[in-house]
Amino acid sequence: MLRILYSRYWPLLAKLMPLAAFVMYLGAVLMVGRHLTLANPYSRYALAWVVVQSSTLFLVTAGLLANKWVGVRLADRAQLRADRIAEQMVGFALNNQPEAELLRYAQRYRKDFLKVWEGSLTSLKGSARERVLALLPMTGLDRLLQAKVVGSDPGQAVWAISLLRELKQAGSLQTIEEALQHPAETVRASACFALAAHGSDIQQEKVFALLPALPFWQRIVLFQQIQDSPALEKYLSLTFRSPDRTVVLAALEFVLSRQRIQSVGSAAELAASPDLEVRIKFFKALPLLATAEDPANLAATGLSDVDWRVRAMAARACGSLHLSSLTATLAAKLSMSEQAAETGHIARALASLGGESLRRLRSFTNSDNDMTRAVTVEVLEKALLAPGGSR
Amino acid sequence: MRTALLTAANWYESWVIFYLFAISAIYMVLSLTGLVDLLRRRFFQYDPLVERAAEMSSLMPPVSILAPAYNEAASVCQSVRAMLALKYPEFEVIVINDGSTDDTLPLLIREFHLYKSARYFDHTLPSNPIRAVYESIDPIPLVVIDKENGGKSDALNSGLNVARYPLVCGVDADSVLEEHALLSAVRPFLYDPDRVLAVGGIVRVANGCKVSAGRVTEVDLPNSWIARFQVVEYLRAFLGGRVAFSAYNCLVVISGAFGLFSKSALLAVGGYRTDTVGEDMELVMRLHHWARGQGRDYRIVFEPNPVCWTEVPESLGTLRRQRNRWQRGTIETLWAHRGMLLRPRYGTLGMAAFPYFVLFEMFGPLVELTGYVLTLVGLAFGFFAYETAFLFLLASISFGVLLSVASVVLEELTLRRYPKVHDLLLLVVSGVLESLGFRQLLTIWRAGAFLDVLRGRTGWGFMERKGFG
Repeated sequence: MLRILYSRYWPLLAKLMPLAAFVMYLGAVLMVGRHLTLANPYSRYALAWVVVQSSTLFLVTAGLLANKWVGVRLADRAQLRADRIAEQMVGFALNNQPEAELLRYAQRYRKDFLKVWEGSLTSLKGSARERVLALLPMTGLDRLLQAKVVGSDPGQAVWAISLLRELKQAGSLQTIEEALQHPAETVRASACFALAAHGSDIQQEKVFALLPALPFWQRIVLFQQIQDSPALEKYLSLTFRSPDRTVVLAALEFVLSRQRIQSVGSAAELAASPDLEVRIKFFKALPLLATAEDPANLAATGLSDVDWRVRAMAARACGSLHLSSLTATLAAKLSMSEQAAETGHIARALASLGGESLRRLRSFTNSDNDMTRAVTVEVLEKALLAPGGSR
Repeated sequence: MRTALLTAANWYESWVIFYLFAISAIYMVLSLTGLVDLLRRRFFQYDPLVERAAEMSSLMPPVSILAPAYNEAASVCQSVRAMLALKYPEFEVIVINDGSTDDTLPLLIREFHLYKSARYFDHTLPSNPIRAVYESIDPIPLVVIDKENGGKSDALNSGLNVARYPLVCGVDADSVLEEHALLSAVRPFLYDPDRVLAVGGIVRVANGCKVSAGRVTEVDLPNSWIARFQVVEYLRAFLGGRVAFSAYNCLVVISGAFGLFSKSALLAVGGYRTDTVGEDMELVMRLHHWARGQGRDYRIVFEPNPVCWTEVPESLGTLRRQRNRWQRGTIETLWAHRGMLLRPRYGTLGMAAFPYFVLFEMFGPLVELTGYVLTLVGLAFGFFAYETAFLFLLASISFGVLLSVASVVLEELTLRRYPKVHDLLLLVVSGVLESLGFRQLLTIWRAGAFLDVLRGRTGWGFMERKGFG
């Protein structure tokens, strides 16, 4: 079933299945109609329709209720087993109880055991967690999971990767690396996430190479997984100079996502990039970039950009980096700004700079421009209400 | 003359029976399409990392939640608390007090420590005057707009003017969103950022559920049969119809109780229309009209995972007013966008979904009602054979039961929110009983909406709320 769901034929099958079911339904109506004895064919087939419909409903309802009844009972039993396993697991992890009983459970109820094992990893910390982690290789279930990672069932592969990545073992990671070639996108994505978080430098480099081509949602997840490493430093030092805009954008997104200072060397080219999106993201990320150039010079370039979104992000950077030297430029831009969003960013930057900048900002409460005046008042109000905001 | 009339009546009756079978067949295909899509979602394995990472990422598009409130004192504080507790990296909650005459605003001011703020906003969309904008002294992303009464659409337009984020989420102030609702709803925008214009979530009945601190903590069925019938109705509408229409990019309704939109798309089409009571359906139709008119490659999507719990009416009077309004909204919307009907330029929407809505959703109640009246008159005056009357009755009832039970099957095979066997049995029984009187009552009310539209009736009518006690 899962193989069909993940196959490339699925969209076609999804369209055909309802139609096929409907044709079967129609066939049943015609068959029943033939056996009815009503003289009027219209009434005969109408009645046949009702008969087929009612019978189907009866069967479906009966099946549904039986399925629910059985399902609830099976779930209750599984819960009981899981509770017993969890009890043993806690004893093993916290009280150093022997693992023999747990290993028996692992052989007998693999699925229940793995569920409890997975749950324990999120609830336990420190040495207790380490003990639980070490339990999986003892059960031999890691080999079973490794087989599932490279198996043809994508659902099982994703599940197996999500468990194996916790082990952080070279053997498991090697198997996960093989999943980078899996035909199902969802498996490849999971393999990327796992290797980004726990892979070796070489494995991480492989993931970084794939990064710009990944869909946006996968990049979001991946950025959260990537750990600091020499491979990461090497990758980032090259990406900011890449001629490929997608590579540069991915790197800037990464910096924005991590919210940690990142060294990028010279950034003048990025500040003056012909690509608007690169410029917007660069100035958005500027407070997080350690650049070879003076950030004030870079910000000044951004403030004189032709696009208001770039100017807004440059203004925001001025506030975050406390670039008081740009107060006069910011004030000049504030008086010229026609976009409320840009005005807001400039005003907030001036407010956060405090002192002379704040005094300049206050003068805009008398501005002839209604929008500038209103935005200024709002920003000043927020500055006053903020903790320690009586500057 | 008499013979001609009798023949016409017989023909009409036969046509009504055929009509009922046709709609039954269409619903069956829709339900099967919905089932196939929902099963795929159920078995498709998501990496658990995805949600956790999204929850923390600063790259997630920020969302402005718009919650219009008119006399919602009974539930507004609970709903706002639930909205503020949503798991999402960056969002703001904008409650629009649409000239309430009860304690909605004072309650909000007291509960959330609001002050009159100088927040700036553009008057991009026309709306009734805003008296004041409030924000909280506490570090919570809450904005309350106090404006003169102008109706829900007008309130939403005010909210759109004040909203600052690229995605806007319209919710009813008397509804409760699940903790991860926004994260799930935003997923299509992440997967297909260039094409998705709007995403609708599922609305479920909160009556009977245990709600504490603005969260549904235990799912149960309501005690009242009227509310139980509505549970089945909601399942049918969302799981059967909307999943299937979404699969063909023909989704024409995103419930006003919970929908996520690209703000730029909403502004491009001029926001919500204030001269209709079906503003949610009208907006989605206008988005389709606009996007297809421009030849744009776009998607309007239904997501069954994000859940919004809402209180449904338990009194017949309130229910009548609600259904009358919904039907008037459907009629007004379809009439306003009649230019799309059977026009190949509008693709499957113009050629399939729109005709379906006109034939079965707009005229459906009228056809069904005339069928009932004609059957009764025909039997009373003896110009219908019992066989015809019996067939009509069977067709009408079995059609209703099929749809209702199919929706329960969809729920059980896919989302499984009702945990007990007893719940499932009650839902099936509700699905059967619903067709033996309740649906006919709704048909009469919905048919009455036609008269109201012809008379030019506008307005929502009073909606009684109990709140999530």
